Amino acid sequence: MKSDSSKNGRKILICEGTGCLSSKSDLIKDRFEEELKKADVEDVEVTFTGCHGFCAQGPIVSVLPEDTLYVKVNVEDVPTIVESHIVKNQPVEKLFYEDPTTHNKIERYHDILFYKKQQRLILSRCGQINPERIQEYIDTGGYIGLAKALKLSQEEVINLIKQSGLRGRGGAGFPTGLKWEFCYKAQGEEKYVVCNADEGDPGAFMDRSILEADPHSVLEGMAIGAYAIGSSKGFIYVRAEYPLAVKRFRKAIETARSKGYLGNNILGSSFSFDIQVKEGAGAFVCGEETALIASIEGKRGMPVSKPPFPAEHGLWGYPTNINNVKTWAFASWILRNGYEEFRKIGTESSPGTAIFSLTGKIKNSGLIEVPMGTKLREIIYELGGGVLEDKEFKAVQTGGPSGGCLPKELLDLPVDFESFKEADSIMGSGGMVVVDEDTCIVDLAKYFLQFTQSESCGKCVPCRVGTKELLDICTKITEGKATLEDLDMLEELAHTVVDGSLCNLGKTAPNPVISTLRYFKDEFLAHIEEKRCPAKVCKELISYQVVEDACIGCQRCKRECPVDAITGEKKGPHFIDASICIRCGLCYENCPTDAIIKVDKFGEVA
Amino acid sequence: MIVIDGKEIEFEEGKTILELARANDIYIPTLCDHEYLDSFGACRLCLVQVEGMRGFTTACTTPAKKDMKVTTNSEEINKLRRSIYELIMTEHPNSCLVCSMAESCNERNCGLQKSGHITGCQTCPNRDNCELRIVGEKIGFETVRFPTLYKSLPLERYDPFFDRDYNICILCGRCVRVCQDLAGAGVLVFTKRGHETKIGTAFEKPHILTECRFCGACVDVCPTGALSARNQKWYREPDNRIITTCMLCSKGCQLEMESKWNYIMSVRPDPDHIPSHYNICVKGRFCLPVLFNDTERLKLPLIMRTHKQFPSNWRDAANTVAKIFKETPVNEIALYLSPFLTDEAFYLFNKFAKALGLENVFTSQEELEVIPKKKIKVLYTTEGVFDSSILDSLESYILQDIFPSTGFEQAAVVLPTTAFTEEKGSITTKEGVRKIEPIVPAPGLAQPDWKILCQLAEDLNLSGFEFQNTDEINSDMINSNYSAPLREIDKYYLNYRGTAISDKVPDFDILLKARKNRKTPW
Repeated sequence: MKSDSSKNGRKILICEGTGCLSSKSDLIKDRFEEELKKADVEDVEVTFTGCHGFCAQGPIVSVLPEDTLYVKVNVEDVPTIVESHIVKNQPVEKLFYEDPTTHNKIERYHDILFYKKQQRLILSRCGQINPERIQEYIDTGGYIGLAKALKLSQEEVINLIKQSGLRGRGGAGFPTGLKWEFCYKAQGEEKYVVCNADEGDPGAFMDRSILEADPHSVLEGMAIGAYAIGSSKGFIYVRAEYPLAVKRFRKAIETARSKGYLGNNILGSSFSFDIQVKEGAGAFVCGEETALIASIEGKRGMPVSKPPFPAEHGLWGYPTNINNVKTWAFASWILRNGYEEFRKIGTESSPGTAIFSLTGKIKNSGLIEVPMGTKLREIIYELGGGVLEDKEFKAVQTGGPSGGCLPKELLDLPVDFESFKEADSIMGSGGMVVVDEDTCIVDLAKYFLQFTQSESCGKCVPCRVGTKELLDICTKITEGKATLEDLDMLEELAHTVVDGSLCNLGKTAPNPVISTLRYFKDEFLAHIEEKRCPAKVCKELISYQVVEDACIGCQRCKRECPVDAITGEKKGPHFIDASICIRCGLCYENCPTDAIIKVDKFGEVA
Repeated sequence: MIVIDGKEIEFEEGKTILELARANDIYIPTLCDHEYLDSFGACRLCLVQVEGMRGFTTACTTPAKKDMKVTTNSEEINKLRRSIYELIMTEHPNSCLVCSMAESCNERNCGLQKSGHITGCQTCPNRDNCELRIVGEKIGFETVRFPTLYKSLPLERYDPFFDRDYNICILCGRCVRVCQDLAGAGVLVFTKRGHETKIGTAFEKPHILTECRFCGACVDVCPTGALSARNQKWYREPDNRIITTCMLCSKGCQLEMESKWNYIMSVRPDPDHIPSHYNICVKGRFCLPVLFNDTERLKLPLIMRTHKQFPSNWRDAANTVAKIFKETPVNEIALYLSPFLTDEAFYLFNKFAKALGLENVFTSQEELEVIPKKKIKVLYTTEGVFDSSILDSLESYILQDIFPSTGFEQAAVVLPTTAFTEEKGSITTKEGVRKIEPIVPAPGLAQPDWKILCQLAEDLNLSGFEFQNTDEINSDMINSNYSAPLREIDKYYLNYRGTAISDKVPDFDILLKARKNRKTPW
């Protein structure tokens, strides 16, 4: 019997971003096709999209035209969705997103606060279109920007970008129009444009999402930039750890070529341009522009001193313009929509929006695109839904390993380049890691130092040796072996590394230390003077204790303990010997009555 | 015009701040900088402040621009420099530098202590030339406040010719750059990352298994004792230093040679000939000293009397040879002229042959096979013949060489001569005529080839051989309109005169054996 929904007209979009794919969303798509066939439903389009930026809620499925968003979908849920929603027009409430504050179930994508409060300019197509279909890109305004640019002169395009006030979104925030102008004016038989897609900050995934979900926006931006600067060859340097992004971008290049948006005489003009994909090889330092250039040239990724700058002397000695993925995407947006529209959003000195990856101890984690100038408080408590488990907010670490920690006193700070810099952090590529009272700030600084020390290319002394010394001192502090002299040395060494390093990896590596020393000095002092870790994280400075009144003598902890540190009789109170205990936490996690507590060394109860 | 520390300096475009400072006697410390190489900016010691530029910038990489105002030695910069130097010193044994007994130790312990592991200045082969120490003194280094990070890497002593102790390497990158840019071999590179960063070869292969030519460029540019030439490292300051021409092949490379205690201490390319590529090969760089310093050098003339050779003097030796010549018809005498003869010796031998009407003059060892056929009875050779069967048909074998080479035991007369490092003269090379100078005295009674010949000519009553020195021979050559031909010796030729170099230089033997399957050994 042909069902009622023979004239369904619906569209089911399944997210195939890396996050959802790793939860087998491709199988969900296959199942949809199966079930729809079984239910004899025609006229329903099943397609896949790129990343929505809401990966913690994945796998994500959306249904149009209702704008229904289903989260945490399993393959087993598919028959229910098909039967209930597609056939019987009854959306499946149990799969709706649940607001973490109100606990209400919300059906519509655009009603979710996480999305409602965003202003998605360059993320607008992410999760909405099939990234491998160039027609869907064109139908949503794609390549209009390029067409407009080709009707202007090179200087006019550059002026347009200058007037928009667009600043590089790779971290430094250098005015993009000015950068393009330098390269345009530089002398060189050849000129190159490069997209820096070596997103290396731990936990950052905005560039990845854009490349997977809307690769043509970046491609178009590069073509516009190449035209403005006078380049006919572009490179995208993508980290090899993003195989899906590489695959989608390569496909985008192929389809763009076949439609005449790349190659010779683009859109009938005299402008020719093509792009080559170059994969990275696992070095964070290759995100630094001169190291990136060396890597494309086939050399070891070690930065070189500037001046001269790549705009004058870059790839193979020729003028080269390097911009981040997001910057290129903004370029195509601005050319399409006009610079005034861009300036309407954000602040005077930092117009437009910025993308942040909100992660850590936050209820809603994912990618958000908000206007520059938005307050941190709004991001964390409204979009983010607040701290996980409603614990006490401690700090937000911004800008990845090059950034610093901002305490709750700075929650009213607006997000822009200047305000973050003054606070001893950076906006960087947009990482935001929320930490709560259970995070040790010294341990956090140590974590980032471990990263920068292992990624240091080794060329210059202050970074190679200095970050190792900084890391060793922080480790000493977390082990309770440090003195106040060590703290002074930490501070001095941090500034030596900042002043002496060759590139921004070294120059910003001490930022986690400098900012935590500024805002959380007492936590450092507790570790040093009191041999105490207030967050109860540093293993040498905590102990586990049994609260006798709560203990029911079930002996569970005694059985779990790998080193036999616990003694006690059945039904009697148990005791943990601190001299044997290795602080693995197994007893703490397994106690059925929560009778075991973590204590910072001086017996302060949790 | 640019202003450095208040001093106004005129300049041309294209120079860096460091180059201008140096040209105007303003001291800025550097370690990774080197005159042969492009600037690198790694050690960070040359950091200066430029008005208008944020933070600090390296003087070695920053191009000087009009109206720049540079400060090289503010208190802030000096403090930063000392901190950076301290960081370098956390990885480098520095106890001798901070020890309170350093001065008296230097006075009393005049010798270095040979050692495998370098634990301080007193056990470091580079103690006298250590650039690290010189910089420390100039910037006022006193102590290291940071914990030591000694790397505990194994010593690399399994390659021929030079040792590597990367525990004291400061990662200035000079060796990498010289190997890549000047030597063009690209054998040494930066490996690994972070604190584990180490200079090395791809996959940590021994150098013998790479494209390394053992040219020694890396050893020459190393500012510390991390890279050291095994046979040269413990001799400290040389007694003498000259520039001369290498005669191990026809390339004619200009060499700087140093001697100590009348032995050749080291050989390097002439520093004033900063070449577009590093102009010296393993033979000249590392084998030459070992070859010519060998104790088995011939020192005394020997004369055979009733099947036994007795040491003699030049008068008797020359007389004996002259007697053999007088007693033999000239068509039964042959001369072999080694390609290693100087132009003067070659000229004189030819003049000698002409004066005697001697036609059997051979210049390549292959030609000697006619000796039995032509019934030649006497062979006067300037290098040991390789085919010993030739000796069977001879009555008298007169050997003039530097080592007891082939046929030595049967030689009627043995005439010890000098290597080219022990005499003055000239040699026609691929680059034209070049001069040689002596760096060490000849061993024992050994004499230059031309002098031996002149003595023989005198005993044979030939005129036109009354020369006291090579200048007089040169005048004679000019008067006769003579220019010596190029007697080509291939750069891969493995002998010197009658001796295989690998017989005297064990490391060379190792190199040749390890690379026998390659097209060329280096």
